[in-house]
Amino acid sequence: MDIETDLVVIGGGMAGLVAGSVAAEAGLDVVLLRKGHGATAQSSGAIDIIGYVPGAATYFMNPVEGLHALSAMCPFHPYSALGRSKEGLPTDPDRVVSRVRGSVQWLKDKLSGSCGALKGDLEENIQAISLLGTSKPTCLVQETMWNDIPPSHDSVILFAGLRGLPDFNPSSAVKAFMANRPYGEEGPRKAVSCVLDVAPSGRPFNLSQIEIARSVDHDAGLSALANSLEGQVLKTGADYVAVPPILGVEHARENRRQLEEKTGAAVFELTAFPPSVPGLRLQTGLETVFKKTDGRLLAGHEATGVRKDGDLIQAITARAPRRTMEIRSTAVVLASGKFLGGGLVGDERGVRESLMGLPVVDGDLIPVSDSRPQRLTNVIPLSPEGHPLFGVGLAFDSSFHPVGADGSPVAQNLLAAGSVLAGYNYAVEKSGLGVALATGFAAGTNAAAYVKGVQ
Amino acid sequence: MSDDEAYKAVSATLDQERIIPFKTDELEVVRSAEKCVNCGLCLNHCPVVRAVGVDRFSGPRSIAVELSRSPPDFWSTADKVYLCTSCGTCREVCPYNVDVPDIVSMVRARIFKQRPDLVPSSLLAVRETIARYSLAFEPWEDPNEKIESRDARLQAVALPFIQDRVVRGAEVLFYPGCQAEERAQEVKEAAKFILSYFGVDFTLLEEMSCCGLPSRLIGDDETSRSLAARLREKVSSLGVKKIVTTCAGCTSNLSDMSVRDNWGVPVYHLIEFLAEEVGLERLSEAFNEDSRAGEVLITIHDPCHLIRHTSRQIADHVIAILNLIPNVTTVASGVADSCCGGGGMVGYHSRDVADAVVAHNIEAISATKAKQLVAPCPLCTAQIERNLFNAGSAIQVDDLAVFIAQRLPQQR
Repeated sequence: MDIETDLVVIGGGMAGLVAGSVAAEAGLDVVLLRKGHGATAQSSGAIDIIGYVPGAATYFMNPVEGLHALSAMCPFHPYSALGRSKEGLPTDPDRVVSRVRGSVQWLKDKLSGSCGALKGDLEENIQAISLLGTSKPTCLVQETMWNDIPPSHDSVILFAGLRGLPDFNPSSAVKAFMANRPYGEEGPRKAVSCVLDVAPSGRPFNLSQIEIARSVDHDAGLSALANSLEGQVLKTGADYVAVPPILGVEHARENRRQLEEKTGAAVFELTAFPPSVPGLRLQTGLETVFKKTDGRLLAGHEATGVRKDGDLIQAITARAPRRTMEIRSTAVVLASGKFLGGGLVGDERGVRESLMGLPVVDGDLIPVSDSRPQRLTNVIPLSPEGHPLFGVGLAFDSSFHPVGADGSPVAQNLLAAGSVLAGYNYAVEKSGLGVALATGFAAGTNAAAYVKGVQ
Repeated sequence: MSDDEAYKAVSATLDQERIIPFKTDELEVVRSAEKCVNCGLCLNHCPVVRAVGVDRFSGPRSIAVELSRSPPDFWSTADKVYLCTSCGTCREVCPYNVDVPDIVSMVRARIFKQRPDLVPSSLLAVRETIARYSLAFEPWEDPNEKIESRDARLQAVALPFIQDRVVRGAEVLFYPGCQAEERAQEVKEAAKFILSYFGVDFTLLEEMSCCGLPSRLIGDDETSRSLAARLREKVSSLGVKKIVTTCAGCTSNLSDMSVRDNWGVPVYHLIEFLAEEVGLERLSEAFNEDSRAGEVLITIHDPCHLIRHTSRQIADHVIAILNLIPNVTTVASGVADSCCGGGGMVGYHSRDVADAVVAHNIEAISATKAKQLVAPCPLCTAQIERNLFNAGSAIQVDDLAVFIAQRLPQQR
């Protein structure tokens, strides 16, 4: 059945859910179309704001510093667009910081008290430790992933693996962790490992993180973990315990509190590869925020067509597995993601925007619609410059309208947010979810202002 | 040798080589399997993985990248591939919408043809029933007993009997599906009552026959296709313009068949038909005319075959309709869209798995203060009712058609 609404959001990751929630909070009727889960659900659950400028080998000590540097160096970066006035350049770095800060604070407030509640702020980039024992700079982590390792040289950190969980090898993580500690840095000087015997269904083999996390959400699973861990903490004298992110899908914070109470050590989750449990908690948390604003989430619905009349989009065609419908809307936010989310498609013909065939450019605004994806890769697979391919997307103005080759908006009522935008290379910058959050917030706010303006 | 001769010579060896060529309508499913990037996101969501772990059921990821590619012997595949409940949760979260439920049906179809010894015997028994009666359940031996049972059920839910009718050229075919025809007869009767209340020009089939979904899930592709073809013939000879059903599985399967085989007749679930064709306004008037039912706090279960195989919009219709009924308050269980374990024919051979899946729902439903659960699907209703009962819960379970019929004025 056809639907009429104020705003259609295309895409259900960080950018889309934030844009939809912000617009719904401003009083709009919002329908969000989500084809499947994208990069947000695949994330480690930590939210990067800005870690590096492209080409740099050392990371920013804090995102405020990073946003200032970016505003000066990368005028076409989505963050920089936040600092521009309607008239365009130049970028005001303080405005960039204040708008990013605003969206971060909004998200922290919304997720506060939930299983995916966030900790951290723009004043510091923290080092999140991974399952491999390596670390990366990030800004916000879920509370259960936070470690308050104090500057003490004689503390002990225990990497606790689980028997039957192939994703994590605690002894090799210890080696990598110690090898990667910069000389002279404070923190634990002794790292040890153990393997816990916690078999949720009686089998100590072929386990996945999700089934352990779900079992820890129940009393029996939690006490099995606590008992097993308690013995190891006693044996090793550990002050800190690093576990894979399995502390729960619904009650992770409470589970962690109980574990700390029982063992007397500080327990935290490592960051993991996709599909991680914290990624699931972040996705679920954002969806809950959106639903609480009375936003309507149509999962399993893919936007397949657009009806445009003059310089306005009139309707979006959505396809469910066995139904097709037209959604007439006053405004549209395109937050369809990049290659994983499906917003962009790259093949032998070039790189295309998948819904409307909008022009695609690279980080320097050079059109790449006809470039094969291979042409946009670097010969060195892992370098601080990264691959230009990950910086391609839609060109946009300072209100986040996608623009055509002539620099004017494709449609007055079309906005874009998140990784479908050009100009930021999340993989090298460590900025992915941060840009999605800040641009989603901006696009949602702008969409609400537009709809109210025409009503 | 001409091209034609060569084609014939090669096709003749296919059986011997145990190769089953893909049908044209299967190619999309095959391409969908090729899209899997093996990310494993589906494992975080699969209800069977949640219930029994990846060791017993290796999950949708494994079906797409491993089990779909294990021919010709299938011995390593069969014990896993029959545990999929076909709920489609994985397809809905998958970044590439890999069509795991249909991949499962295709793999089962190949096992059925080449290694029938690996098909669970209880599924072969269902197959026998379908082959003999064209129904998924053995029909009543004595037609009078069927009538007695129907009347007893009508009395239990306090609904009047509406005469069966078969009318050529009617606007709507009401298709109850096997479960409401042979078992949950009150659902069929409730739907007839609702349709006649709103003056819908409807007909029944002269002789009920299965839509083919169970055969498809068993892997008996041939029977599934012949049942669909037979139903199509009946539909076209009746000359109806729309098909309305109360079964979630029939809704998605018939919608699929109707497009695949160009029936030219749209298929609606009763809930969709009420929301879209009858209209909320008329429904609202009717509910308010003579509200005889008392206050009740209910919770909802949304069948996978409606929300994940057809459209999530139907779940919104359910809420919209329930909101119109006086004295009815709905409370969220948080698991309304979680698979009940009743699908994919899993319960026929691995009851423990089906019940482990629904345990998640039962826990959350029991934690609500709801007195009643409604679901627009007789299969989900039966699965949840049985498990709530076994868990010692006093929550009453009803098909949504019955719940709605009970809240319409009984006399016009």
